[in-house]
Amino acid sequence: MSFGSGPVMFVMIGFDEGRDDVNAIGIHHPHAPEAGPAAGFEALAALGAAESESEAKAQGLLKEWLSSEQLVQYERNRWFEVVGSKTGKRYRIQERKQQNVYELDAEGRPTRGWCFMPKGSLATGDVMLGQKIALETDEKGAMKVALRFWSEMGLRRFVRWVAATWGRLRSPAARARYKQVK
Amino acid sequence: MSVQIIMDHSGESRFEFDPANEAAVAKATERFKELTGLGYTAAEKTGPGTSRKMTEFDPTATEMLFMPRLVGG
Repeated sequence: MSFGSGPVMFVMIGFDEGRDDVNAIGIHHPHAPEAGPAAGFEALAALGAAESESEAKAQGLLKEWLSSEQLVQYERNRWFEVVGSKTGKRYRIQERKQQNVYELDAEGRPTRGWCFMPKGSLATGDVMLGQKIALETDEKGAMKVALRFWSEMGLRRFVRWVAATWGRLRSPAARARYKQVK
Repeated sequence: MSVQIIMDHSGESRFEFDPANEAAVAKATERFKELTGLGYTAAEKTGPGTSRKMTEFDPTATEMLFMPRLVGG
């Protein structure tokens, strides 16, 4: 494999003091001007500012498209819930770019985690909005591409079942039935 | 005025158009076809917190959102 003389993008962002052909944002170019530490920090600051701006715009857009209930949930908890268009299942979308969608049971407890997002390098708000729209308008399509990253463990499910059964046995109705039988 | 919002790395890009202006609607239609052809999902805001998926351009839609196609993570 030859890199030839064209620009090559490196994964790492920063500057390499040992090389004068790698500029501040990692573009390799044989004719690139020498980049010192100051230029590196300036470029990183510019990247940070651009990212903050895109995050702020995406947050604004997300809030425009949330229902008032979802907006309250989001501002309070940094997550909101949506209802799937096909199954009526509830999902919680957390404020992250990936591994942030949880399927909930009837009591609102997470039972499975799903990972899917709009393709590309998008801001967090855009990712969350994409997930909300996908689940609310085309749950089946979203689930076709989604990958499961977490599910409630068998033991945990068993403990919950024991607790629920124990709770039912200790209820006044159950005690009354027991007394009748006795 | 109606608006087409496209999700991108900068957060979003907005293109406003007058639904009464034929040329503007034609351009918006073309943009819709181009983006959906590229795999973008189009959604129309139908109310506070509600939306519907669009499969073809609707000149009466006042707010359209385009997001890149979904991928599993």
